[in-house]
Amino acid sequence: MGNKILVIEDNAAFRKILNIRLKSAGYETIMAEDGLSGLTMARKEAPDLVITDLMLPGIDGHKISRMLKFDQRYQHIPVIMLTSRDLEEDAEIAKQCRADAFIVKTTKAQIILDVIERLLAQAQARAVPLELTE
Amino acid sequence: MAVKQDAYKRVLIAEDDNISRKLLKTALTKRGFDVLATSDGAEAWEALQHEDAPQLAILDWMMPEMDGVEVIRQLRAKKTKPYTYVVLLTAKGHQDDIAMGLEAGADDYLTKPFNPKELHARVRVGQRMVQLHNTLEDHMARLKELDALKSEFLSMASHELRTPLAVMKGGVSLCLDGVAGDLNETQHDLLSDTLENIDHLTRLITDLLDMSKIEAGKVSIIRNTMDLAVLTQKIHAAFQLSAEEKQIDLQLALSADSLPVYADSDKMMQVFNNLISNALRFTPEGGRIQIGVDQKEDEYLCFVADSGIGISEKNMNKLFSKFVQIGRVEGPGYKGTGLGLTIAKGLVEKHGGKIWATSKEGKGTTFYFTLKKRSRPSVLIVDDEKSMVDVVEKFLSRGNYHILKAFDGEQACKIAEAEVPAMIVLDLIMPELDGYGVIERLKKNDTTRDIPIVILSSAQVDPLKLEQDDASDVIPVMKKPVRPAELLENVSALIQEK
Repeated sequence: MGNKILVIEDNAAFRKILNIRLKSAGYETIMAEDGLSGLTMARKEAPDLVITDLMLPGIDGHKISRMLKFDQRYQHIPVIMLTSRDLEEDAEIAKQCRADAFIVKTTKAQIILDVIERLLAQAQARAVPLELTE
Repeated sequence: MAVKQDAYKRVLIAEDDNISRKLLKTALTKRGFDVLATSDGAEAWEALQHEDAPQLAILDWMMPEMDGVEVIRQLRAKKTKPYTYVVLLTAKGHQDDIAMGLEAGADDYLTKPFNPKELHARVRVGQRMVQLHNTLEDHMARLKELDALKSEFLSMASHELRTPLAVMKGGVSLCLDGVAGDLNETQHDLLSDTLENIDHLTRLITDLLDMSKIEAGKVSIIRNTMDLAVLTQKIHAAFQLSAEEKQIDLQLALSADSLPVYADSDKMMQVFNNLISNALRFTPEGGRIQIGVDQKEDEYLCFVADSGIGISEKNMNKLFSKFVQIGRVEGPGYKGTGLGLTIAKGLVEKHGGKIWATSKEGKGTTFYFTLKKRSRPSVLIVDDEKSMVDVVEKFLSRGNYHILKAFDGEQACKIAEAEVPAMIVLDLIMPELDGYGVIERLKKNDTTRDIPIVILSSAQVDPLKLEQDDASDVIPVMKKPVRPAELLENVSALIQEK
């Protein structure tokens, strides 16, 4: 635990809910309310995982995921895409921009937490061989 | 398109003979028509290009440079909007000319020398037809607009309605989980009810959206090789808890350990979910629900049988209608949306299956649905030449497809609807119903609309004809003779895309 999670969400109420939920699950959180500051924070603050809303004003979740996932420096950070729609198009978008998971916002909190835990474990497992070579 | 009333009073004439032209003009002007007279086809064609050109034209067949039939051909090839109604002028006794003119796209004809009364009557018919055409086009445009609006609304509603729901659910869940402090029993109780209702509303919205997608023919079925045995075991496990809560004995009856099928597993899961939720709702405590799959010769018979309250005969035919909830059972378990069975029906039919129910009041209800027994994608080959069908089958033999064959258009449509193949390889030139006819019919049918089609023909393909049937973007065209590798590649690419 103690992993740092960046949340990018423009809806203040939902941001608050995510913040409380993640903190109570033992994570450290940093919050961004729009795409641009979210992207800047993702690059500067070295979060262990990014949760982003798909529909954001300006730079949207799709773009954020692409900018991170197609950049060698940041592609190891797991990205979870949140959306309020469960349209097949959205799932397709998430796949295209290489997000690691695509979750509808009304999904049970426990399921979201399970996904976070799994992605963090995967990321750590991938990081191990690198440390061994040092 | 706003057409002024006087617009219907305007007529274009093309006639190279001075006397005849004058007679036409006088006869029509006398009746209050606004006449634009030209003396050649080229001149008439030019005048008809104008935005506010008359929609009624009387064209002489025989003219130097460009004759009347040529003007008609050009007009129809360009598919100008609004529609131009054309009366062809021919000399008496030239029956073949009349036939040819009508074939080329003329709407009516008049023989010279003409009777002014007949001329007027025919022009009046033209006026009515033009009015009808314009009304129809207005309505078509309006319908297209509305359809686009509906799709946009659905996508927006989906987002706008769920965002506040997500916030509500998130907040209430936090409280219930004690993250925001301890709750007393009454608080916990009230918030639990709230959460249950938020979930119900979420389901309602999801069902409504699913329903409208099915109605609009926008559901995409993504088929894969899947196992019904694995699927039903998963579903059986998922519903175990809800069944136990109601002390219902939930049984699984499979006819084999492995039941391979080529279907959309998410959609199949949804069908079972809806049927079982329904059964749970209408089965009293201590009852029994059995889900299972039987095998018939070429299809699976899936069923969900309950020992519930049953359905009266007079309610049977309303069973799959929207928003119909027949009978209510008091007690735990969530409320239905009244759409579950309608959605199940839509999804089963999209797979080419059938769904129905049998019931006895007080004894219980059994829902059945069929699914074609097939573990690989099927390809329908349509060609009136049997040898060509065999060649294509041979080409595709390396692709592990289930091959269906049709030797004429009519048969092709029937098989396509019954079997919903993963794709169709289609010949264009066939007696009676040809390739275009097949495409037109398949595109009009919700069940077959989404089947990709590859045209395999030595004939030149007419893109306009395809466009008419909204088929222009889905049909790659290949010309005979084709190389086996190329055909296989195209077929597998299209099936993958699905």
